[in-house]
Amino acid sequence: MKQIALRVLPKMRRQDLVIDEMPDEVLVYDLERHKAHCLNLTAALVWKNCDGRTTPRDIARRLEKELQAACPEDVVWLALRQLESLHLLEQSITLPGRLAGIPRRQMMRTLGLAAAVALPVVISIVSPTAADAATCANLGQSCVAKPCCSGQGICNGSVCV
Amino acid sequence: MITSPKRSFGETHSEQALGILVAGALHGVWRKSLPAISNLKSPISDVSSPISDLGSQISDLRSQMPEESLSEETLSLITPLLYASGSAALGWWRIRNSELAGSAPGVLLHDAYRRSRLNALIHEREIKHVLSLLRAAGIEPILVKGWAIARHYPDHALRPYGDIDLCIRPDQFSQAEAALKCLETIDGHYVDLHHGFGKFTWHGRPARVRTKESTVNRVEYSARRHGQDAHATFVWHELFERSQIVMLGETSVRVLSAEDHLRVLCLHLLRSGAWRPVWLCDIALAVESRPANFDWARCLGTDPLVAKWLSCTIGLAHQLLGADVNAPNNKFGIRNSQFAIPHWLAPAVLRQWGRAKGPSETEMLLPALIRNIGLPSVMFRELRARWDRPVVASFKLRAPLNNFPRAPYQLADLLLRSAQLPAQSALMLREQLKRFRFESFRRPAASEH
Repeated sequence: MKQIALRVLPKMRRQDLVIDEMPDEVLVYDLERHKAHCLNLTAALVWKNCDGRTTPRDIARRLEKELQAACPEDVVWLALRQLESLHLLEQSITLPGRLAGIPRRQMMRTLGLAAAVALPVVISIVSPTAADAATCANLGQSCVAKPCCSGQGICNGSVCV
Repeated sequence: MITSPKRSFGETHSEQALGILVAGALHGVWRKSLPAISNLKSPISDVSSPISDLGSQISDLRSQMPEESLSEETLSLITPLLYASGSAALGWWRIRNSELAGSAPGVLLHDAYRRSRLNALIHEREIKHVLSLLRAAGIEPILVKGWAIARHYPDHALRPYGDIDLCIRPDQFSQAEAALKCLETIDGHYVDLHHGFGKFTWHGRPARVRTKESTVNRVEYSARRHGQDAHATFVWHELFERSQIVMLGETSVRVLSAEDHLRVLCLHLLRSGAWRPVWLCDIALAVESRPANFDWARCLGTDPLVAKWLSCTIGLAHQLLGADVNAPNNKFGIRNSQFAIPHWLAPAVLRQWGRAKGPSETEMLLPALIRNIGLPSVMFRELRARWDRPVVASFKLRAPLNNFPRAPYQLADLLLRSAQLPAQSALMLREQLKRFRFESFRRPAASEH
C-alpha cells in the first residue's frame, strides 16, 4: 500500500480552468463547476509541479529549492489532498498509509510546527459571475443592484419580470 | 475618528456623508501611482481651482468633511457600499499597500478583487468568443464601455465587468442576434446587443468630422436621413469611421474613438443616475488618458444641451474624484469654466453613492408602498429614494443642467412613473397568483412526507 502511494505522479488539471498567476498567489476558476479558488504560494508551487512525472517527494525537493526552506514531503501531500478535493488534479491520488484517515486540520497542526514553509492553503472564493457585475439584469434575474436590461421586462420587487 | 456618519453628520446627511467617504476612498484610484492613505483628504478639497465652483452647498459639505484620513472604521462603513456598487476592487486597489489591507473590511475587499481578476479573465475570453461568432457571420461590432475602458486601468480587474455591450450596424442587427443564438445555451456570455448607437447617442449626434471622406458619407446617406433607421445608420457610419482597433491578446477589438467613447460614458452615467462611483472613475480615466490630439469640440458635439450635460459630467469627475481635466493637453479651446457644475449635482450624486441603490430599485412605487405599509420609517426612506433622483429625472426630461431647482423635474418624473401604476399592479397580482399556484402545487407533495 505504501509503495503504491510513493509511486503517485500527480498531474495538474488544465482543461476548463481559468488560471490567473499573481505574485503571491494563484487564482483558479473552474469553468465546469463554476467554482473559484485561491491557492497560496506553497499550494500553487505544488500544483505547478504536478506534471505527471514527478513524485511528491521530488516536488518537496523542488519546493525546498524554490522557497529556500525545509519542506517536508507531507506538506506536498497536504496540498495534493486539497487540490484533489477541489478537482484541480487530473486523477485522484492515494495518500500514504501514515496520512490516510488523518483529518486535514490535524495534519495542518502537526505540519505547522515542523515545516519552515507556509502551509499550503487553498480557499474557495465566491464564484464570479458576469451577472453579478452586469449593468443590467435579464429576465428572471435579480434587479436588486442593477436595472433590468432594455426589452427584458421591468423590476418587480427584486426580479426582472 | 469617525464613529458613525450618522452621528458625525446628522441623520439627514447620512447618505451624503457616506457618499463623501466613498468619493474620498476612490479619489484618483484609477491612476498608476496612488496617493498614500495618510494623504487621503476630502474629495472636495480643490476649491481653489478655477473649475471648482461648486457653490455654497458644497462649501457647507466641505466644512462637514472629516479631517481624518481613511481609517478602518471608515472603511467598514463604506465597504458594503463599494460592494453594492461594484467598486470593491477599486477599494482594494486603494488600500492594498496600507495597513488597512489586513483589516476585516480589507480582507473582504481583497476577496472582491480576486473575484474581479477571475471575472476579468473570463470576460475577456467571452469577448473573444463573441467576436469570433459575429465576425464569422460577417459582422464587425464596436465594443463600448466594459473592457473598452477597463483596458486603460492599471489593472483590468479594477473595473467590474458585466454584459458585453456591442453596437451593431442597424441593418445587421437581426443577423447578429441570429449569430449569437447559440450562446443562449451557454452559461455566462451576457451580451447586450445595441441597434447601432441609438441608446448612446439618443440626444443629438456628435459633432461631424470635417473630412473629405465623411462629407462623401454624409451625401451618401443624406437621402435616407428621414426616419429613425436612416438616422441610426448615419450615426453608425460616422462613429464607425472614427473607431479604432485595439488588441486583446491576439484578437482585434473595435472600440470607439476617445472622443466618442467619453461621450458614451458620460451619457450612460447620466441615464443610469450616476449611482455607481466606478462609472465616474471611468470618465475620470477616459479624460486623463485621452490622446494628445483629443478633440473636445467633437466630443461635446453641436447640441448645446448635450454639450452641457457632458461638460457637467466631466466637471463632476473632477470635483468628486479629482480627475485632472487639464492633463495632458487642453489646447482645443475648452475653457475650464465650461466644466462648472450646478450646485445640486455633486450632493445628489453623493447621496446616490451613499445609498448604492440602482435606478430600477427605485423605479417602482407600488412594491415599496405595499411591502412597507406597516413600517413608516422604512416606507419614508423608500419613498425618498424614489423621489430623490434628480439626475435621472433631468436626463429623462431633457432638462438643462443648471442651477434651476430640480423639484419640478423630479415631480414630472414621478408622475410619469405613476402612470405605470396599473401595469405595476397587474404585475404584482400576476406574481402573487404565480406564488399561490406554486404553493398549491407544492402542498400535497409536502404532506406526503
